[in-house]
Amino acid sequence: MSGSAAALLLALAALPGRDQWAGALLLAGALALAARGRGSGRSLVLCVAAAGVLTVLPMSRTPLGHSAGLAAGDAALVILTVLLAPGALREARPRSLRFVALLPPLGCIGSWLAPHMRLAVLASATFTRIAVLFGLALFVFAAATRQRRLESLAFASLASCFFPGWRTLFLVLLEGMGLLSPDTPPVPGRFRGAAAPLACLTLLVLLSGGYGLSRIDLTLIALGDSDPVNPDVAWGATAVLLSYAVSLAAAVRLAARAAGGPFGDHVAHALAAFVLFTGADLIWLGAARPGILLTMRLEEQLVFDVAISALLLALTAATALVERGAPRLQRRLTAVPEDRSTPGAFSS
Amino acid sequence: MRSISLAAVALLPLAAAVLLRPEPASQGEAAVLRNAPLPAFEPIARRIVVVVVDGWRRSDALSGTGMPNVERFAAAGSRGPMMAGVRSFTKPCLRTLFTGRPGTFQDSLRNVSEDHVTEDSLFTRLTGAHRLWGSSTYSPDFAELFGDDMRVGAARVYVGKGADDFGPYVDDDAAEAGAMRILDDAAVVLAVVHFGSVDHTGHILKPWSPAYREALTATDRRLGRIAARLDLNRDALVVLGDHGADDDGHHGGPDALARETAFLAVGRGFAKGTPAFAPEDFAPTLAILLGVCPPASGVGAPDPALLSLDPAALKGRCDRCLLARFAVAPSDAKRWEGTPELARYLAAPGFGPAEAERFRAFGPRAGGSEHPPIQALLGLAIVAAVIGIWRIGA
Repeated sequence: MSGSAAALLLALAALPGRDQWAGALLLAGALALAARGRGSGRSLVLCVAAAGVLTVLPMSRTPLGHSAGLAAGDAALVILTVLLAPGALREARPRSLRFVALLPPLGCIGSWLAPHMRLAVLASATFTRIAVLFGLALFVFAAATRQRRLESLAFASLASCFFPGWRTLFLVLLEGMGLLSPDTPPVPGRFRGAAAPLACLTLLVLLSGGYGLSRIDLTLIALGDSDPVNPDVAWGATAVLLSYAVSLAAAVRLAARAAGGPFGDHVAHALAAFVLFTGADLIWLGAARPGILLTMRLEEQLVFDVAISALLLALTAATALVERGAPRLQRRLTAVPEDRSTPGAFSS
Repeated sequence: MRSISLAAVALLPLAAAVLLRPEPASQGEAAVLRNAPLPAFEPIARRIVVVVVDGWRRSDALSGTGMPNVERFAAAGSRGPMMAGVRSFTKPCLRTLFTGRPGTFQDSLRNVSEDHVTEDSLFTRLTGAHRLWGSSTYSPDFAELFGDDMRVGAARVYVGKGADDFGPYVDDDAAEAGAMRILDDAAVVLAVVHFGSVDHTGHILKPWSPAYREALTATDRRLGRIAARLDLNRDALVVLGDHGADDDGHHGGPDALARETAFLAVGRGFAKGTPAFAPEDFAPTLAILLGVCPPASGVGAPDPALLSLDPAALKGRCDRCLLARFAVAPSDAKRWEGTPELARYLAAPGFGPAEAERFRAFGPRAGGSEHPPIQALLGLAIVAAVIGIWRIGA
């Protein structure tokens, strides 16, 4: 990792609260990217930034803003599905994948239309679970076999289950930016090591409300399960972890596209940064004796940093496994000659 | 290689999280205080009903919009703001309300799983004085938290069974019906009712939705029906939120909106006014009205601004409780023995705000830091290891 990236991450680690900085980083990063881009690329980056800012504005928490956000997010997912579905179905390998390729977006649409009856078989929550399970499986498979349209479709559907409204719009625009962006990475090489951690911090604020147990905008309720007497704690915990995994996957994919280089390197950089943050949290808590409010924020931050380190650890292992097995799988599916396969299983 | 090294270092914080879990500093002391024999007195209120409106936002509670019964009771009694603890989940807040101790880190982590209070609570004190109490709640949280007390002393425990569809969200009907059955028993001196529809509707449909206003109005009607069973010349009614909610309907952390809630107290023993109230003082204040001592593990005090009692009589009760607690907690007694603070407190003729402040100070330590210094050393080791791996990688 370059000195600039390391210095930036060390400075972030030294801060007891990292929430507000992530918001500022979003704006600074978007403006820097827009300044480097040209024409439609610059417009697209500004649209992504605007959608990101919308997710945290107070107006999104008004009746009108909430309804508008839901409509915008749903419309964005439908448009993305319509645009990508023909290509994704045409390129689907193995061919049998075509039968399930559209299940994630259809599951999402079903969850919007189905009644919110807990006991009904075809309830909204059932469709949401279908979208989550198939979206996750298809996303991993498509990423490993480099089927980019299918990967984007599955990821956008998966993400929209956890992050409805303005945040779906933001993620769909992000997918669009990834599909349309030029091959030249807009992030300077000396900041490559910091791209994934900064994207993680920024997306955690935008998608999950940032650090803080109080701001987890993802509960069983958000997934359509609402039984206060017998809550499905296992599903709830899985859903919360999945939501963070989705945030992290989005961040690392963004970093790989914006800064270039293998996906695995960005995962390793993010892991290094969050382990560093965890160490800094422990120093603050054990030595600094801060006041109760700061202590609580640090405790929440520690829980998050440990959880995110664990998820990144799992992602590191999964990336290594996929990168080993992906070329063979890809050759089998698409009959690409061995000398044309490249390292880095996940598309970037 | 670098990834493997990082993975090895990443395991350190995970191990730290497991091995260095913060524990409440006074866990052992709390067990002793729980069994302490403390004196009992003649009750001031014949019966008190406490209605906890989960997630009652301060703006809704103080404006009274759509809650005519709340307005009616506020005009006859006390209503004011209350700031929940920094851990604004339901379980830590309920713990604070009924034990007088701040919620802990573990309360937040275990908000949705099994957990129970090991310190003494208002219920422990009532059971010790052989006074009956009951609870009727929309969810099992309350029964889980105070399970130890319920097994020993509760007269009635009702838990809502949930609703069959998404409409009502939570079973406040069952909670209200349970409350009515508790009030049928003339021997019950304290009934705790916990309504959840306001909080749940806020989470799901947001606090600005029409459904949320309907939930507030429905809760207000329930309050009216419950209050109709009370004679406020002899009984008392307390309505309060456990915590607030932000504009998205969520809560759990130290954000002001998530903590801002309010209380309403009317009837026998309560003064009129608009004082601010601390949740740590809730259990001690109610204890005095019910003729028992405040929970010995609590760090609150009876709030003289909220009580319409003779200051000297209030001081007499508090003194006896304090001395009895010192008798079973020698470390506290030793800490304060011979100090000017204790001398000034004992010399005061009545129990005013200054005495309440000293009473709080005489309580058990609030727990101090839950984080041992070894965490800092581990943190340093982790930071050094990551920097080392970076340098090797570069």
